[in-house]
Amino acid sequence: MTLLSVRDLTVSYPVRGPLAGWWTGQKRFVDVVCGISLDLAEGTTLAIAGESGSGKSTFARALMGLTPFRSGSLIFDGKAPFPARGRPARAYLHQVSMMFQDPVASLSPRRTIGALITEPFRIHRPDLRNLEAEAKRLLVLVGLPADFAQRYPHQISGGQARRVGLARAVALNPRLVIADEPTAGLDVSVQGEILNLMARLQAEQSVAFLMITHNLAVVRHMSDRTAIMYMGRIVEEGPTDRVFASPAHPYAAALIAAEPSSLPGHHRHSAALKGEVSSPLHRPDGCAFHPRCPAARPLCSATAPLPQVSASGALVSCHFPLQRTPDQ
Amino acid sequence: MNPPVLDISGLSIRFSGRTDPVLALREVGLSVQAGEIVGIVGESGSGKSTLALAVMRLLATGASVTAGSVRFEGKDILALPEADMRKLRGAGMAMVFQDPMTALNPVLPIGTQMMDVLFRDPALSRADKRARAVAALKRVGLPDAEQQLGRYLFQFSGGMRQRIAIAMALLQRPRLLIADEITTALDVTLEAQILDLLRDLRDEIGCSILFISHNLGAIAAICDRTVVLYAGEVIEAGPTAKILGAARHPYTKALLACDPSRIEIPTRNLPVIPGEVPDLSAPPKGCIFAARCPAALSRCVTHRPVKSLVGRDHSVRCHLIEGAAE
Amino acid sequence: MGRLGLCLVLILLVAAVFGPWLAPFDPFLIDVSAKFHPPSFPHLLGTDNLGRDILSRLIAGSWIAMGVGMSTVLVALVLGLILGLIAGYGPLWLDYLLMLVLDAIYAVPTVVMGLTVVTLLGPSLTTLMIVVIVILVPGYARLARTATLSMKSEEFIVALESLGASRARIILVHLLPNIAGPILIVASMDIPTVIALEAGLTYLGMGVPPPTPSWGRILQEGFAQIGDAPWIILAGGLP
Repeated sequence: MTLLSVRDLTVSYPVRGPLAGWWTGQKRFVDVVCGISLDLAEGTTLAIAGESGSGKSTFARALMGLTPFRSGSLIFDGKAPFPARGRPARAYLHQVSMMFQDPVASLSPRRTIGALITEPFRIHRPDLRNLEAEAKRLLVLVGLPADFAQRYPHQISGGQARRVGLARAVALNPRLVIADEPTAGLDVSVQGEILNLMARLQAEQSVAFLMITHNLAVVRHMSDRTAIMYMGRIVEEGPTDRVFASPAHPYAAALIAAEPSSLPGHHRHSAALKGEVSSPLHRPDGCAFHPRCPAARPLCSATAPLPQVSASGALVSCHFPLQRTPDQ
Repeated sequence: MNPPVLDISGLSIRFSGRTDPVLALREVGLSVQAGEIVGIVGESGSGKSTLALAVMRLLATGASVTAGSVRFEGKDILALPEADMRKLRGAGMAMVFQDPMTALNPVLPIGTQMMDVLFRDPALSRADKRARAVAALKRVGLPDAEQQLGRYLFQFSGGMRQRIAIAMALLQRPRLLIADEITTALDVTLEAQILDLLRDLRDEIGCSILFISHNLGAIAAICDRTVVLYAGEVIEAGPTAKILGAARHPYTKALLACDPSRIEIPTRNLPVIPGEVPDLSAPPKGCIFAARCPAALSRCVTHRPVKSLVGRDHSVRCHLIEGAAE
Repeated sequence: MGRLGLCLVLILLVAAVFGPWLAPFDPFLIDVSAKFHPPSFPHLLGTDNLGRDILSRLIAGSWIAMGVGMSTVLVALVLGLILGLIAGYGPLWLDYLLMLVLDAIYAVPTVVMGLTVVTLLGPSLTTLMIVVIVILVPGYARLARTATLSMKSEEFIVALESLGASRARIILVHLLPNIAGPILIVASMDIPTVIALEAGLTYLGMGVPPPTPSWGRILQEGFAQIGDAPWIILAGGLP
């Protein structure tokens, strides 16, 4: 059953330059997220992968009502939780929570861990009295010793702060957790602990995860479906195994091929991708990827491609989808 | 054979401050030959950045070298007067950091900063310095280098900033480049580009590179030899292919097993290394990894293992290996 | 230097709290026979035109000085913090409005402000305190606003917004403890300034009315006899 359904979501920021709009009185907008449509089923994980500047974090913030969106719609559990500009209903924030990118910075520095993880109760369940017991329950749930409740954020490690962030995100038994780069900056051994914990919570409480990440190795293991974002658009979306086995969009293919591996004899294929992401201020006409695309043709710079179903069953926005990965 | 460009032996570093003194590095030894790329891999707290700063002699106050030596082209740089050391920095060895936004000055144009680096060379005229800066920027693949000299760091994208930082480090043609987590903040496609650049630079100007990273994939991509650091000790060192393909130390094996990119079949139960890094204010008497080691013996807890050679240029510090050799 | 400062503060505090027991004479006791005594035993700092012991009056004045200094700074601090937090974290129009008003107050010179308020309310200790508070609040509010603005986009504040925390909760529970520290330090350093300000305004006749022994009043009264009895004004300037 579909839990979250996003249609044509667009987030724009006004351009602020030295004299922007000063003479004409018109504001220019730059689309950071342009026209995203997605469905997330209950109790599953959807990963949104892409490079920095692809708009994936902005998209996550828009879903939490932290950034207003210009157009599009959002349906959670059959209802629209909030208008494009406005604060989300409390009932929505009761069921949807977010894990932030920087684990230590997202914790109020002068509050104890115990106070921090019970903050959702103070906000949504003021009737609840025994917060100490709740704090203990949550700490145990994420595998931290119960005496951590007395510590302060600066006294714990990055991996532990992640666990605290996760404990706070699942405190109210939400149905959806939006995880923004849940493993960024973590060592591989600690990264596994956090991911295993997320998988366990999903199995036990049937919580859905919307995971924002640039780490494709993590995506491959953790998500049911994968969406690859480029310059504010989803270029390919489908079941994770199919997207990885035979990516149809040249960008998705290049990104997957560029993924480093420590296996001896593995050669990553970085040659396919030259240059860097274009500035959203000067979005290329047609397909935004065409200046970097190894398979670009005249049509690509003229019209933007519409999503179509690829041979593998994924939704691909490309005029000339690949039949097979170029390196296989 | 020429002496190695960098030769560190028995280096121990202690941090003392308000808390108990921390023995951040203990008897660390490694060498970098001319034109070689040596990787230092380790998790946070393993002391890899401390090692880099010790080589540059840029350790913060409170850190002191308690034993060992650092030789650069045969000279013991720990004994060098500060004035000579300053001359060596930049010209002999240069360093690139993780975040160019904090490592370079944000309020000076990049051209000014690059020409300042060359101030010490009286033989160079202003035009020469400018030409050198342009050449360095071109070398790292910055388009329209001449026009970019007057721009500021924030006007460039992340990948370009790191290229500028590398260009600046290479201005005085150092023999050793220390790269401390320089691709950590970059996306995979940019990381691949920067790694390609480093490899080309090595091939072209023959400078040695000490490449510090916690990213096993990046290490695999460019390093000739790799040193594995755990809690301030070198536990295994050898050719990169051996370290990543036929590791002998249980920690190296466990670390590699954790890398999700090495696990072919998707799983939601990823391997982890149970336990915590030991408290370095009172490091354990025996093997540094004993408490977390799945194969630890009783002597692992009581006796510190010695370094033993298990192959050409491949050394391991582990009792299990010693036993096998006997 | 730090220790010397601490000693001086301690002397002042002891004088203020234990004044009634420490003072050798009653500060209000008029003894015309003993007027204009130069400093000597038992009048260590001499007497004034009404024969009142200056040391005793100074000690009694310290109570007013400390009381006025600390309580006005405290009230101004609380008001400034609240206004600054609201301006920094509240809606933009409120920020503009508050800053406009506070900057307008800031622009009025201290003495002019004092004269205006005294003219309106008449000289009294309360008036004096109101003047000082009105002068101090804009500075604290600006500091609090700047600190709030820089903290507003911190990830932990965004995280709280994502949890659905109310504005009041974010301001009081999360922002306040984080911005209060530096402002508290500035405020504590303002206490001596305020004491001097109180003395200054009283000296100009805007503050504490006679016969209350305040430091400013002692100076003012001493000024009239500066030719005959210079010790009064010298002693009054001591603290």
